[in-house]
Amino acid sequence: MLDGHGGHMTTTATGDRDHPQGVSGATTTTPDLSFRPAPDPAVEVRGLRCSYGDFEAVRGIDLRAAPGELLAVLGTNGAGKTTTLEVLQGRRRADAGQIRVLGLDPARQRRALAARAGVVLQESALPDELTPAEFLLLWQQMAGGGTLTHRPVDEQLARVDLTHRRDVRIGRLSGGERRRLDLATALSADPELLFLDEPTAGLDPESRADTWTLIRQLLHTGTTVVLTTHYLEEADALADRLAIMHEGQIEVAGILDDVLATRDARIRFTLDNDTTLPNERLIGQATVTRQRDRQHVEVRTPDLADDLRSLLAWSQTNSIDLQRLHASEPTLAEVFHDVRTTTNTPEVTT
Amino acid sequence: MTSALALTRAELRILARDRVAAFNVVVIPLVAAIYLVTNPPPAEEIPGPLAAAGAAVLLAVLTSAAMVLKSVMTLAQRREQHLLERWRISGAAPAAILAGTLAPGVLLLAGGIAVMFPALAIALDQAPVQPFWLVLAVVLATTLGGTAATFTAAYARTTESASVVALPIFAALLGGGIWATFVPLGEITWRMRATGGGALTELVRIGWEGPTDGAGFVAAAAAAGPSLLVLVALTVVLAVAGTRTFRWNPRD
Repeated sequence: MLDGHGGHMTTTATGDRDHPQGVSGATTTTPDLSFRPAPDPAVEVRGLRCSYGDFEAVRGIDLRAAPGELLAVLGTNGAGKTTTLEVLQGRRRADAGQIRVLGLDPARQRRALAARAGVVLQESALPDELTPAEFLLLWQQMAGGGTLTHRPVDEQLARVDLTHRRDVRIGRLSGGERRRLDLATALSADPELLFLDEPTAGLDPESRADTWTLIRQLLHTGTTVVLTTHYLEEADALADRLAIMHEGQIEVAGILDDVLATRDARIRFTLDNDTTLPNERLIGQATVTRQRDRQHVEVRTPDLADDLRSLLAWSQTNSIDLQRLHASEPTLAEVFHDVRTTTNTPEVTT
Repeated sequence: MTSALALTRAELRILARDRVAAFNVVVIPLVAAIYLVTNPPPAEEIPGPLAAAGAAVLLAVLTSAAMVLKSVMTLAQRREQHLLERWRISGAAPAAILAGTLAPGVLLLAGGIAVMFPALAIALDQAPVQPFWLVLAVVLATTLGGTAATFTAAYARTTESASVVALPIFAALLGGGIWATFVPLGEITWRMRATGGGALTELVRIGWEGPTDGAGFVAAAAAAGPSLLVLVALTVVLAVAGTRTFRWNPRD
């Protein structure tokens, strides 16, 4: 089992509920109604542009993550996610834009940022000929010029369940074990900010769940996380805020709940062919679509509970059997699909 | 400094765990040196300053193969493995990362010289006249080879292509070194020196044979001046170019 900091959650609510463009999703343990200034964002990006030669990979994006928040950056392949992360880490220079990470300019203060931020690269960057213990020790000597305080190597290995592979050459580790070693490396000095570029790619479901648990524990102790992933359920499970990129631009951004709230819920059912619907504006604000086969009906509604109740009442009153009834809240997969199929999705303002 | 030393240790450990490479690096030079010392050629068969010529060729071989070729391949491989990115993320200085990654090549060159130069001197009974110039030649060979490798590695897209990409510099150092070995010391031309290998050969020969225009250090310095100038200029140009072109990330 992966093991997080194990600290107590003492954070207060942050983010949008306190100030515009802030955070949500951090659970409040103790209500604190007194005024306090909003915390500086851990990550703040305005108008970021970045090119590879003539190809503009990132085209003027804005991002923001408050301390203790998990920002998920989603997108299609080649959307510009990794490039964005590289700029945030100071590994790539932006062509334009204002970038502050932990209050630092990553391009000019890369070493200062490296001492406070952990990074899991998209590709597992490990020397095959060394063992996990040797590599973590090497990392401790490399990171921050050997001046940072790191967790003991054995504790790091235990944290990601790799104690039993301590002295095995890294080249002999499985893909999942290598990924966990990447994570242990990033967490070596308990960073304030963690960049995770597809951290669970290649992990089996159990290891992925353990990684999620570890990430949640890190969030509870106040670590800010910027995550890119292709697993929508991962973003759904972990993210406070998300940004969906497509072709170098952010098509959707905001608090997860707010993003989902912009989409209608769906009710699906089938009817007998001869059953007639009274009209297309069947219930409330819902939109009813009946397929050509006359059997499949889809209702899109902004208020699932009320409209489902109305639908059931209508069917009962008219003695109509709603077969294969299925109701679902909007999902991230639907939002993502919309982004892929249309590029004019309005940004959620929060 | 800590980062460079830590990375040097790791790179040497990686080299040591490749048994064939470790054998080639440690055993072959030792066997060659022992064979040379225990089976010296008859004195009457030694044609002139053979030790100086042997040392010059040896330095050219080690600089082009151990320093440039191996280092270009190592840098390309570490970039492909994303380890260069990894070390950059650590916050270590670029110079420290490069020094640590290039350290095995430096040690191969220095180790080979440390074993073979004395063996040549003993076997051929021709001790160097001014060893200072030999030390300087090895130091300059190391810096020139390191900067050449760093510059060249920018153009090696893969580990497999690294040896081909390094070929022009390899050929210049080795060919120039051999070229300047087989002309009288006073007839080494600027064209020979411009290869880098020719300039290194001239320094080695001045150190081993002594300058042609006198016996003192000043005479040697005057004779070595053109080669020193060429080597420093090449190193600076390659270092500046390497700084601008070096790629830490395969995506660059």
